[in-house]
Amino acid sequence: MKKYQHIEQLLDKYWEGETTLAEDKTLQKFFTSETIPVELQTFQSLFQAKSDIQRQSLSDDFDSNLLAMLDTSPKVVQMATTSENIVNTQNIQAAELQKWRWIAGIAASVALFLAVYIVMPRTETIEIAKSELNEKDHKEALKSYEQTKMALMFVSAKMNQGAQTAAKGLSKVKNLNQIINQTEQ
Amino acid sequence: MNPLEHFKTQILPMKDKLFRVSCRITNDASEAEDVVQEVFIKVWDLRNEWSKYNNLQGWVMQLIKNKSIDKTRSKHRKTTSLDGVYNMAQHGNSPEQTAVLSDSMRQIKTLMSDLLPEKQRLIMELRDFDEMTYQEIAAELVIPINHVKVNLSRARKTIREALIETENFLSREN
Repeated sequence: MKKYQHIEQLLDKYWEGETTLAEDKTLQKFFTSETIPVELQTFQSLFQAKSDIQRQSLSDDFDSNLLAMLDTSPKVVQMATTSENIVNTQNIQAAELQKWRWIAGIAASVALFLAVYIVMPRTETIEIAKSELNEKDHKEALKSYEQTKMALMFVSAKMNQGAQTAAKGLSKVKNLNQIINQTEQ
Repeated sequence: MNPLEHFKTQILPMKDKLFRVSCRITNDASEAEDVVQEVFIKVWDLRNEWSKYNNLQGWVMQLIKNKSIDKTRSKHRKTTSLDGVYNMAQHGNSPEQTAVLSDSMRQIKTLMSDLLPEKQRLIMELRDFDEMTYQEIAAELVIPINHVKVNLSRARKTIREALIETENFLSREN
């Protein structure tokens, strides 16, 4: 047991979060070795996992592949420069087009302003005449509406009277039917 | 020293550590390899700006973390995915090694993700898997060193208890 006393002391420090990185390495080395006492095997997987994760490394050809890419990077830069030129040309064309759009927009606004300025007075006269006419039409329409409304109310009243008369007639017919039925029985 | 030599001697040797950090975040070895490669190319393309950074290696590490997180977010992967752990185990190892590796890694990773609060799990990963010093972890997480040690201790003790319980359960079963 004394053989592993040092490891057990280190383990106690480890659980307390007090070990140095070198002591962690000592524990890791011990737990990934061939001979681990049974009472300590419980913790083997923890240090095995630590070791496994730390052994994770990039593929062997990573360096050569990467350096090949770096060596070709000037070409990539050159290609990027070419594509930048294309982008710049497109930007210039877009700017030119934008400028002409502005000019066209201003011209259209001036034309619209002139059109409104010249046509507007005539339009105003027509609108005033229209509004006068509309006023007359409106009064006549209102008068017609009132007359129609009166006529419809008259018709409605007459129809109500007719309905009441019909109801009275119906009740009389019902009474007659009852008398007939009684006499038959 | 020309930039290529500087790159080979100062940055390239970080590759495995960067790869492990990316593995931990992406949980996918092939994706982690892509991340390291992409970041190295970016670092090389920005070689004219190296002088701006006092801690070049810290900057590269930060690029790796950011890129790994972006990759993970873009694929909506869970960091606790067992498939990813298997994938990690299989990367660069023989089938015999893989079988052994994946068992230990799967057990510990599963226990850590199931039992530990996020902060404790992260601290234990940074210490035990990435081999960072207490000071580095404290700086990384912007917390005092004694908090690092307390959280690390709690995390390790939780895992210790889980391993003991597992052992007892298996003994009873046998």
